[in-house]
Amino acid sequence: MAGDAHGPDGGGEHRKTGILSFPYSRRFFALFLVAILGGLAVRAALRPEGFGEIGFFRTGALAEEAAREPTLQGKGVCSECHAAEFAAHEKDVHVTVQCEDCHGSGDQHVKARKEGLPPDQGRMFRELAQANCLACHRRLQARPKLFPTIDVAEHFATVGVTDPATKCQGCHNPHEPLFLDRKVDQARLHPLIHACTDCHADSAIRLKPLPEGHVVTFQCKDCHAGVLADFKTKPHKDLDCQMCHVFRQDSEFSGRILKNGSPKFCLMCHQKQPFRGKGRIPQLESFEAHRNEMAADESEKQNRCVDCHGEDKIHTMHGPVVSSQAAEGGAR
Amino acid sequence: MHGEAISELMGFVFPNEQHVTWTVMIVLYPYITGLVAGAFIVSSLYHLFGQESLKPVARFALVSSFAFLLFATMPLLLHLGLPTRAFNIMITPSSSSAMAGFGIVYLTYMAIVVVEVWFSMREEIVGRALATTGALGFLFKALALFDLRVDERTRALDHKVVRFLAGLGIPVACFLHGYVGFLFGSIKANPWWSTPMMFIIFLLSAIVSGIAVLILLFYVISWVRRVEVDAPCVQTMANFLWGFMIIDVALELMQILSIAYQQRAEWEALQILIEDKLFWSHVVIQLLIGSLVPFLLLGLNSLVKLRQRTRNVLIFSSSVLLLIQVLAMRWNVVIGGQLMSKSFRGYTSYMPGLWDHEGLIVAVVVFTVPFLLLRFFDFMVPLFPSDSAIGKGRPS
Amino acid sequence: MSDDGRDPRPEGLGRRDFIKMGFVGAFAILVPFAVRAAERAPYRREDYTWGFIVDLQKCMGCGACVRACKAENAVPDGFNRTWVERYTVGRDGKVEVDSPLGALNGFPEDVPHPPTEVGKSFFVPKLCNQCATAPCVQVCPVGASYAAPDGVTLVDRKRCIGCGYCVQACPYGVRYIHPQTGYADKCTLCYHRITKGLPTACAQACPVGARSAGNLKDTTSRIRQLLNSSRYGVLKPALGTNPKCYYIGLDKEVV
Repeated sequence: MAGDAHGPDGGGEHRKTGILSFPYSRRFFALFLVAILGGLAVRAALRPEGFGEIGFFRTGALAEEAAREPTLQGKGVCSECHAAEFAAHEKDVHVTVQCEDCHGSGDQHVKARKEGLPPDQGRMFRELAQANCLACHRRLQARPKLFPTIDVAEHFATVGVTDPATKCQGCHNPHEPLFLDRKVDQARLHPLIHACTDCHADSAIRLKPLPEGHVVTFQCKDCHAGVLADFKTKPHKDLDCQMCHVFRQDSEFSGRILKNGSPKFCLMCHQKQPFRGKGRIPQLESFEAHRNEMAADESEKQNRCVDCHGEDKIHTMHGPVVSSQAAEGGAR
Repeated sequence: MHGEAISELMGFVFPNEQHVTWTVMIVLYPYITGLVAGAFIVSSLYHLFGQESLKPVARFALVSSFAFLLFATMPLLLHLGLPTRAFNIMITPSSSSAMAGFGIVYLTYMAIVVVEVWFSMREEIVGRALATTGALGFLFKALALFDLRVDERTRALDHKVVRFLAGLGIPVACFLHGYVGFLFGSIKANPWWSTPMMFIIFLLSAIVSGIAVLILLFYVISWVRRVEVDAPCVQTMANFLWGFMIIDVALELMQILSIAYQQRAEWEALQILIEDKLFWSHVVIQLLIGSLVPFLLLGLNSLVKLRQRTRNVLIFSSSVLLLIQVLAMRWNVVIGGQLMSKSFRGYTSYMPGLWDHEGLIVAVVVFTVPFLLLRFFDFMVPLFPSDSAIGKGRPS
Repeated sequence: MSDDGRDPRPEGLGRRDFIKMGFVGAFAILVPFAVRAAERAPYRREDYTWGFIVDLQKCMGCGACVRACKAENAVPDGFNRTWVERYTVGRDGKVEVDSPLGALNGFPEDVPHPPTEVGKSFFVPKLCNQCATAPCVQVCPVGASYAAPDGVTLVDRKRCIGCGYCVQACPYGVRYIHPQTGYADKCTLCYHRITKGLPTACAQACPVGARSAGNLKDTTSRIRQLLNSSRYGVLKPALGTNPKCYYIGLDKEVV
């Protein structure tokens, strides 16, 4: 095979046949070399600019990604024009809900406004259907227990709504769902987890084991038994405390009680509505009409329903907050 | 989305996993490169390891390897989301990516095969150059690089180059096909793929498929030309086929046995994959029909003295079954791995569409074209020594 | 000045007063510029390592994050950059997981099991975990999937060839090949927003504050404070991807 071969021009000489021995092999490998070098040259030419400077990628890509314009505007942008809705929104429980969560992305709308286009363009609206509210407030077993959820039939039964097709905003304003009279983050703090000394005067009681049957997860009745007892004798007795005293969790250990005295709140149930049948809930035409009717003169007119109806219709507004049992200092 | 059937879901599948990303094209790609590697090994068995009985098929094997190699990239180009950027893989290959190795390995292997084919076919090309005139004659002369000298010394050089490349090409062929196996085996996110054995399993099944396709073609071509098939040649190939398939199937079974024995967290989901989702394609087609039957048939052929006619039936049918087995294995790995969700709680389904660019029709076409190309090569320059013009009185 | 020290000019400014006023005025004019410059301070990559925190105790499965992400990033139909899963663990320990359309329209129905059968149930939002040693970056053959120096994993749309290797390599299923354009796509942690001081689209949209991105390098950041004060977990830690998306209240059943 390799090594000595006596060719016609060799004449007895030793001639190793290498790859450069013949024209065809020389030409072949020359072409080969040209192809490789050509390939490498093309490869170098095609390497993108700025590749591999910071890492194994095109440096320009980073700036391109960062330079994209945001689409969602954020409620700050909405507030620049829609101040009234924004003010109400910031005060009530939907303060954490973005405008764009319900109304969709505002980029086209803002763009249209900036360019002075006719009002029809970039119009934003919201399908005001039950399903939209229920997307968050539908009762699902997976939802955190402290998040307000309803079962529609149950809720309608409680508030006396007889038409099942009633939309949520028949009673609730999506921008201020609860008509709070105090800003939501300034409402009264309420503990989620209680310290022993909340009820027991003797701080050493912490060191003793919990007796059998001692409450661990506190409910309203565990501390507010006095008020609850009174509540049960009055017309609102079938309602849950949290119907009016909405509890909103602030942190792992505390929350706020959103007590509500505004007439608009009471009228969510007590306003005469076409979708509300004549049931056990007394219905009014309006707060003003009712007040005018009931008050003898100006001096008797109050601004909130609870000012007249607190003690007799709801529950005692005075007296001890904590249960009598706890107030005794837990004599154990 | 790609024209494929809407996925049927079972259990919980991550939203993006409903759609199978690596389609039948990615099943075809390792299948074709497998044929490339396998055919090359057969050629090298003659050129390097001196298996004289394989001489009739050696050159054909080499050119088959070349024909399949030319079309190995087709399924990949059809699959890429942006095929016009395909060269990015050669311009900025990432050193941490198994797939980036493709660019270098493919080019290297292509270079080796081109050189080896040219040097091994040179005498035939010169023969054709001298025998034809006009445009075709010019073409052959150009192919011969305008040097038509053939003598003992040129033959010596040609053989030397071919032998060298036959040796060099083996590890490169192993790399060309093996990297695909390594690619799958190193994806830790997918428990059906993740195993160190994937590299060697892919390689061995590639060799099995390569030998099987050569046997098949050998039989077909002999039948078309109405000649008796070269018995020692086909028997040698069948012996090698039996040997390689034993090791291959043993490793495949070993891998499943290993995961079934270890029973890691994902075993529960994998068990359903094997016993339910892949029952027909894996248990029945790949293992029973595709592995057990050829094992018995080829065993019979290798160990028992039989008439040639019987041997032909055994060998031919085993080759067909093994070709199906290797295709099924590729399908079960590629598609099977994507059927199971990474949530380990659900499965999706996959059936390629008919007409879309990653569909069945295209797959059939892509697989068929290399064979047509091979026919064309044979038409241009004889691939079998029996057709050779050399030593038949023509001037050299 | 006259001998008795009084300013001879009966009215108007003295020189000293005038100079004093000049200084004060100059400062007054400069202050708004200084303030605006501070607000407009350019984003410095070196100061940031981005991470993400999800509070599973808060998520109530409304899907607002999924819708916001879709609007912000033009996510194609049938694919999700983020999604929310619902886990329902029965009292017998059997687990069911569902995610209708990736929670694009929230969860329209409760699970078909009465409360007597359900042990616990919760929502888990999913998104790109922004792994510190991301397998998707490792496997990309062309350097299109990369890790930015500030810890965000991104895709160079102009480089990607759409091979899908990164989709296979991601253990969390957060990547997909964009059906119209052919390149690989995934959650970018709203890089175009966070580098401008804005929250990610999903974090902004969440009504209960369950999601937020943050700077892990800043020890006073909310993410650092939460990580230092709560028990949290990450997904598939055994795979060594070192995800930077932390789940507070992570349950064993979540994969």
